[in-house]
Amino acid sequence: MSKDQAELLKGIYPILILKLLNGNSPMYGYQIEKNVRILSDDQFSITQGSLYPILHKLEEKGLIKSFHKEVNNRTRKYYKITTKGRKNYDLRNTEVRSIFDSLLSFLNRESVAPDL
Amino acid sequence: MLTKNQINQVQKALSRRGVNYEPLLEELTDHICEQIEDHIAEGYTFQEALDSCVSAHVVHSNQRMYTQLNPITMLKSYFKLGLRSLYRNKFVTVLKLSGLVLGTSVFLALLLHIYHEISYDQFHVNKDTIFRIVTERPTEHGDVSRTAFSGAPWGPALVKEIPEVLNTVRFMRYRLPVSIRSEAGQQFMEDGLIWADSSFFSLFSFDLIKGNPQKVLSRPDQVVLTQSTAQRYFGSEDPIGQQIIYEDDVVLTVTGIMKDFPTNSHIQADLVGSFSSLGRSFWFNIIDNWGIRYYYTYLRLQPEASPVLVQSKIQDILDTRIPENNISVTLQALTHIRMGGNRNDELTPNVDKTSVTMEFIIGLLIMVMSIINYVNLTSASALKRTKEVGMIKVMGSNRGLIFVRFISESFVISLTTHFLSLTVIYLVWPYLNTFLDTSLILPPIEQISLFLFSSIVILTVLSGTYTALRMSDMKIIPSLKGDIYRGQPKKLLSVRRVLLMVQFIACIGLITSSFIISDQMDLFFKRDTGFEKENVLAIQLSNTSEAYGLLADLKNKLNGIEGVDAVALSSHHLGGDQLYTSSYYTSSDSINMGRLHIDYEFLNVFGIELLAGRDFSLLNGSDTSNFIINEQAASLFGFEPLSEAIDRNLSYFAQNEEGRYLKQGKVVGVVNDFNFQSLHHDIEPMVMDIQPPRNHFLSIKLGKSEYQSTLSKVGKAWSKVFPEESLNYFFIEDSFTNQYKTEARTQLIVKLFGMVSLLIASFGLLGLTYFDTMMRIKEIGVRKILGSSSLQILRLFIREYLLLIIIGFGLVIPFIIWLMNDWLQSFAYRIDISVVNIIVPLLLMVGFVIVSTSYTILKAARTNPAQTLRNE
Repeated sequence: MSKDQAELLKGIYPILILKLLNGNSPMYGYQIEKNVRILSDDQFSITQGSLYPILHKLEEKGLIKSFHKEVNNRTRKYYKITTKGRKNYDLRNTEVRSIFDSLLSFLNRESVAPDL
Repeated sequence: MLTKNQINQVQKALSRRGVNYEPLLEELTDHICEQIEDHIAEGYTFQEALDSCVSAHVVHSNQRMYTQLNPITMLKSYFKLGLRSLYRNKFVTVLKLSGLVLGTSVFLALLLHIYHEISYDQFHVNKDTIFRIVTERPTEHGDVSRTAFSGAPWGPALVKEIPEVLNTVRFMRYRLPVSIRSEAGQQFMEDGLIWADSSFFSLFSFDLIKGNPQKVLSRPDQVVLTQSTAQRYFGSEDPIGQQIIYEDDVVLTVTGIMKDFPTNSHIQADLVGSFSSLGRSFWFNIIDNWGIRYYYTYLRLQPEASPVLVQSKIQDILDTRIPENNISVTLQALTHIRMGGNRNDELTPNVDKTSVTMEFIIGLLIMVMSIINYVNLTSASALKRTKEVGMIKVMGSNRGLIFVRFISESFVISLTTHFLSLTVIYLVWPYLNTFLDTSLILPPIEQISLFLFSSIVILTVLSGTYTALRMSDMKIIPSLKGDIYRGQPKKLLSVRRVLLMVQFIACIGLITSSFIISDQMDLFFKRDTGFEKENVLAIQLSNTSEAYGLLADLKNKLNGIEGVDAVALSSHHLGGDQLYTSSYYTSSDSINMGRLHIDYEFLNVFGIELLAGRDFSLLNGSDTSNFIINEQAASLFGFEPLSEAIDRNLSYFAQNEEGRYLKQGKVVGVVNDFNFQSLHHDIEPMVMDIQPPRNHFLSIKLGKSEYQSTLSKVGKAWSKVFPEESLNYFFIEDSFTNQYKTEARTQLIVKLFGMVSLLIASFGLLGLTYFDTMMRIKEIGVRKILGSSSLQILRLFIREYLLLIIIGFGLVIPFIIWLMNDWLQSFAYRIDISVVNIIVPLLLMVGFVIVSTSYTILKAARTNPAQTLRNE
């Protein structure tokens, strides 16, 4: 992924995470990172440096909730989506889609001279 | 699945890379563990997987941080922060610095002195191939007499007979000061005149300023002056070609001027006369004698020659030439002379290798004490700064940066300490030189710079590492809450306590040693030496022959002075002089003994007690050939009881200007043993007789009153009889005390160091108590509320320190007793170590701890608990 791509995608990571948690049972960090990568055919990859700050921020906003569990001799932190999170996801989903539609239609225009 | 150990490794790897925020650390550990498990499933080993996962992801952030930082700006800011934090904690900074500066100054001063000692004779270009011949000979009582002397004819003969010997130089220095008169008639008494071979300037690397090195000493009656002597004699005139008169007899011509001898040379002189003058102008008949050892011989060997082989060749030659003398020779390397053990007749006094080592150990001990002090104080004061560290960590700092931050503070301290210590040394430099009675040679500037640089670094590392490591290791949340010790068991021997105990041990050790050394010195000064040394004035007589005719006149004049009790002549003075020795015959057996020439008043002046027989008497004409012996001599001759000795025949070979002759006579008296030499030596057997030409000292017993006026009358009488000669007098008691100069200096040094260590320990203790009290201020408050009195609280706090003192005491005392007993063995007369010497330092330490801690603790204990507990 190029630097520009990464920069472009930064804003959409939260929605990817919310999407994953919305459809599934609780997930932990590594699982989220791995799923994003697999489901996007390696197009999207969230580094730990981005992933955890986003998770913590989402939790702070009350969109997701965490709990701890002892697994394989270590403490694992799971995240699950809250009702507020679900609503927020739907909202963002619509927003992103409309932004992308507008973006696409803009980019697909043949003439870029304004209709004056 | 990873084991617990592997999970720990992951966690540590993360911490090392700066992940310190605990909630994140926990999550990331799980994250990396999962990744590693995946890698392992793909066939990686754990270590490979760990390396790839941790470095692939986590490091990026830190690497970026490090590369983005400007290291110089960072260090500058740390340096500034270091200074600021030192300025903020002024009380602690002063305590820390005082201890360190004191310790470092003492250590640096000692190192400079040790350097001076080690640098002795190192400046000679040929130092590695120059050796001195020294000799040993077994004595009658089973000892070995070791002397620096050798015979005059040896050197030239060895150059001829042993091919490995390239060159030789001989010296002679008369045991007493000699008279030198300038042409203008001014008289100087010189004890720094040596007579040396013409090879002197080619063998040694002394700087000749004027004159040809090959020629200045090549002919009889030539003399080279040192710069300061030339200045003294001739002022601004050119000295070359000028003449001086030796002992009012021999005229010497000045042929050269040399730089003053470096203070780190074991050869010291003010004038160097040509050796070829001996035997020609004076000192007849004895210069060719192989058996008389009164000279110093230095040999320069071929670079590849084996000194051991040459030594055995010299031994063979001596065994052939003088088999009856039973002398064994040793070749002593030039650079080993200064610390080459205590030989008799050294040109300049030697130092003991052990005492130099001791000096280093003491210096190191004091340095270690002051570092311990610093570490203790810093680690204690750092406890007040846990919040600061927590804060810095939260802001994104990692272990490495925290470490650098604390080490920078140590660096600032170390730099300041060195700067202040050098200032202290600069200020005390003149006093140091006076105290050590020398002018210390400084190492070359490159060496000093290199040493200071490494010393600053070492001090920084030693003093800062412990605290820096501890602080950088601290967990964020407890450090922010300020309870990093909560839940930890209280250890009896924490690092800080162990360090404190080491200080106590060093303190007790130094104080106990100084007590014991003081006692031994007191023994010297107070012990009955068998003769009365109080109020005895000794005058050294010049060697000129006409003086002897005038001595009777002088004695008469002196006896007439009110306040002069008695006047005596003798060949040696008591205290600091070394006796002649001769072989004495009773029948056919001969025994080697000390020889002293006295007159009729000698026993009277010094209050020496007669145990049998009588004193010499003017009324008895034959007494000029009779003898008085001491108890030791009587017992060696086998005269028991002592009265057996009286009227026994005794003889020895004496020497006068015509040569050797047998002096025969009877023993007329036996005196008690008295310490002719210092108390380092046992009393030796001694025989006394009358030989007026050998009298070099006039001793005057003064009455107890009107000291000053008697002295001036003595001066007047002297100048009437010897108007040309200056009066050189000294008090026997002073000269006796002077023999213990080294010991007196050792005593002073040990006392001084005892005090310094006590002072350093007091700084440390003061600081520690201060912190301890601050940390436990609430505990004190609670205790007060529950009814404790201030004294009870004081007792509680002090108990801990006292326990440390007692443990330290138990550890160090056996070692000190062993060490001191070993040291005492070097004295013929020694004290037994008394219990007082051991108990008093202990009590002193206890008292000192109570005094230095009480103020702070009592102050805290008297504070109103309502104030200290207000925030709970």
